Amino acid sequence: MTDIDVAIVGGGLTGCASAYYLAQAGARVMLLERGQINQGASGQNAGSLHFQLEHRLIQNIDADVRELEFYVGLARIAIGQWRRIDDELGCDTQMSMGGGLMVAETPDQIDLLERKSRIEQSQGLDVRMLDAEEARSMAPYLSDCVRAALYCASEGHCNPRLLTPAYARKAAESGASIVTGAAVVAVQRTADGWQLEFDRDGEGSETVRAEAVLNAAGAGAPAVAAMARLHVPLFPVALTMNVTEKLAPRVGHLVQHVGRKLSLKQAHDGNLLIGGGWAAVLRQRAGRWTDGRSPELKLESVLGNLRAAADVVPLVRSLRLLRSWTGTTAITADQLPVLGEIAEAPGYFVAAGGSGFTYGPTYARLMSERILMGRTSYPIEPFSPARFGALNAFVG
Amino acid sequence: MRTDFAIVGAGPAGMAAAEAAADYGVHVTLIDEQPTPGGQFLRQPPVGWKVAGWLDGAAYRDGKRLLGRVSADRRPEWIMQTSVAGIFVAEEGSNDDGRFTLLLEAGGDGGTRRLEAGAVLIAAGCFDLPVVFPGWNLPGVMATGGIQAFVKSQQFVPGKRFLFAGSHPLQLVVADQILAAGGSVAGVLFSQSRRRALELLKHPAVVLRASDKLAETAALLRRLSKAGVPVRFGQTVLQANGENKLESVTTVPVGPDGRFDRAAVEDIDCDRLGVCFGFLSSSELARQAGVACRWEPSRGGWIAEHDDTMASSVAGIYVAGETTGVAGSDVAALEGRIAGLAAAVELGRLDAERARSLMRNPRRRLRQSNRFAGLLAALSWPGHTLFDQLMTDEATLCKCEEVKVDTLRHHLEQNPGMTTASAVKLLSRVGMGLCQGRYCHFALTRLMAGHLGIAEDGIGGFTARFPAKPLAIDSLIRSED
Repeated sequence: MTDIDVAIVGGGLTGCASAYYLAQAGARVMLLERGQINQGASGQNAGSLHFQLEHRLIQNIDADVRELEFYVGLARIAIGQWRRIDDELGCDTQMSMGGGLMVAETPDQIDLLERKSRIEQSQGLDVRMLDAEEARSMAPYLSDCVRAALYCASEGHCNPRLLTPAYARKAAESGASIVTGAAVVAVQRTADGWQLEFDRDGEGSETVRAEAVLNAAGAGAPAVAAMARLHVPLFPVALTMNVTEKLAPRVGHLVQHVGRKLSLKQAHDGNLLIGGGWAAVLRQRAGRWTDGRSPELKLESVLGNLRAAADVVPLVRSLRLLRSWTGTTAITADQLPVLGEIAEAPGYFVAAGGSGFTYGPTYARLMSERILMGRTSYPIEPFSPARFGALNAFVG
Repeated sequence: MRTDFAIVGAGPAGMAAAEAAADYGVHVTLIDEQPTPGGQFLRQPPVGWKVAGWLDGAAYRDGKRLLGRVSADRRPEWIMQTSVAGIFVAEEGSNDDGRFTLLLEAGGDGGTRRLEAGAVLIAAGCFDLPVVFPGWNLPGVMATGGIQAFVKSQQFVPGKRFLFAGSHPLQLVVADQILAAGGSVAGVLFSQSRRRALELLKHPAVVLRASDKLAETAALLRRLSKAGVPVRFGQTVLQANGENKLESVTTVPVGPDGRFDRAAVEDIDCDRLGVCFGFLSSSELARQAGVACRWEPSRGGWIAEHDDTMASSVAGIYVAGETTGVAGSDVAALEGRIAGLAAAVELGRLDAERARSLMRNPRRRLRQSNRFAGLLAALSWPGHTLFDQLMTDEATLCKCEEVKVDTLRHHLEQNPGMTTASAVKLLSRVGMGLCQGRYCHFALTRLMAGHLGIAEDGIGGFTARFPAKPLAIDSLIRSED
């Protein structure tokens, strides 16, 4: 006898959205979050909705064409879902799809933009090349160093501070039980599913029995999987984000760079959010990564990020830096997400990694379909944990 | 730039540390936001000014002596009108010059530069405790410490008719300074009952150890009474009124149980309200550098933890003065001296055994001074009931982002399980503005503790981020190019 249908581990975007879609479909759901809702990467990232292939994904563009095609295909699903998100959640998440520009400064970069655009167009993503003049007439805030840009009309941003809590509220309204301050400490297979033991803010432990487990713990997913003696090959990555003081509306697009680490947008409140994948330092204890404190900020990353921003959008120089912060996300070896059931552990599902803000709602919807119906409305096989081969074949 | 020992803050703690360390051959660099040393306590007149009778009182005697000695000392290097935007700890095993990199920003667009240091002292002082009540964001409502900053160094009276409301004895000092500088004072309101104030003042430790301070207080009260300034106990501000600027203050009696008697409110006309219920430690730089802090609301909020050599939880970073808890300039100078000696030991300039014997006397005096500071803190602390009653729904809690108390209550109700300040910051923008949360974190902590019925320390602070204060991007990029 199980108590519930699905136990979700992790109160980030994917976990909370999954809780909502599962509960809405009638499943009995409990979400366990060791800290607070939205306290990890879901709330710390810069809120880009980037449907173009990002800088990090196109470093080996020719080798990865097939994977990238699958990934771009997912963008179409995600765009449709984002367009409806405020209606779906019944609140203003400050979602804006004002379009996105990925800029190039050199001939090599322009070439990369063109190759990238062909993959994207082949999968039906609406992107088009702009020359320098077109780019600046669309985005007068761009500097003269911009020689070309790839424009995607559906790109934009959403407020990461608001989205996940909105999903958590809707999940609770739909009957899901959202338990914060609940650290999962043990996960065991039972005759008819899984038993999870969790500590509630150090005040004794409780157990829940579920037919299925969804590991949506982000960078914590490998450690959560290990409790069930499973391997999930995700690796923590520490990143840097920056925010400036507010200014009147000037930057209407999501701005990215094809050859430098940069994402820049003007948030609903007027501040510029500047990120793009600059490293921070993961903390270690006794030679192992620890996730107790946020990663250590590197001054060189702040400088590199601000220089890239100021080169592309000169008005950045006239502003004050309000805050730089760090967060931890997780990537796989091929930078794509891990979505699906672990074949060797029936009923154990994983949804983590891979542009988790832009695609979090989509991962959640597809995983809820997979868990409840055994199939999905868009193929997720390319993202299956099975692509990592025999990792879990020897797990006892 | 490189130094042995970087001292952030040239107030009593920083100056005493500089003197102690320099005595043993340590190369010391003092950094301060002001043009001249002394900190808030010994705020000097602007360069080139002569202010007659500047800080004449007995309370300033020791501090002025220290200031005189250290100002004339040629050994330390001074970097004034400069703030520290961040402290970065070198990665283990790296070949950097120093263990610490301080990013300095010179005022007036002087650009940024880096200072490498072998050890750091954070003695960043404190600031007035911001208290949320309806109208606290009206122009004309000021921190009493802010009013004092004007009148102390320049004899400048920033207003016409002043009312003071609070619970801290500094109110008496500033009212007296305003009178002396030619201003008018409508009254001084203490939220505590007269009986409670007297009980504490009669405490043997105060009578024996601080008789000079008691005599000073009595003299202040005499002068105010002679000038016809009412000093009332069991009274406080309920709200500040006015269109666009302060015109009057509604006051309310406070019962012995701390409850307001809203049936007996009274309006007092004034164009300035000084508010002084205590001080908060400037611990954000310490927290940003990873120094462990603990929550003690009556001693300055998040205060830095340390051992008996003033070493913080981060090896090589020392803390002294109000950063370790608001306790006044005597404690600050003693802590600074101990930290300076400890840094000299760590930097290999002073033998540990010798340092222990040198620390004996300041430690003994520190125990006495701390006892007095503890009583002063207990006397001055208005209690949570007062904050809770002042923080009504219509009051603005976060001035930078204009977040009202009822908006925050609404968020807390809509999002059960949200129990940390950081989570509420993310959802509501409270603390995300130019003040970096300095002016709202105390009130938010109080609001959440009251609303959720949980302990304040579990709510946690806002994570302290780089830069400690907003930093001009152009100046950062240019200087580093």
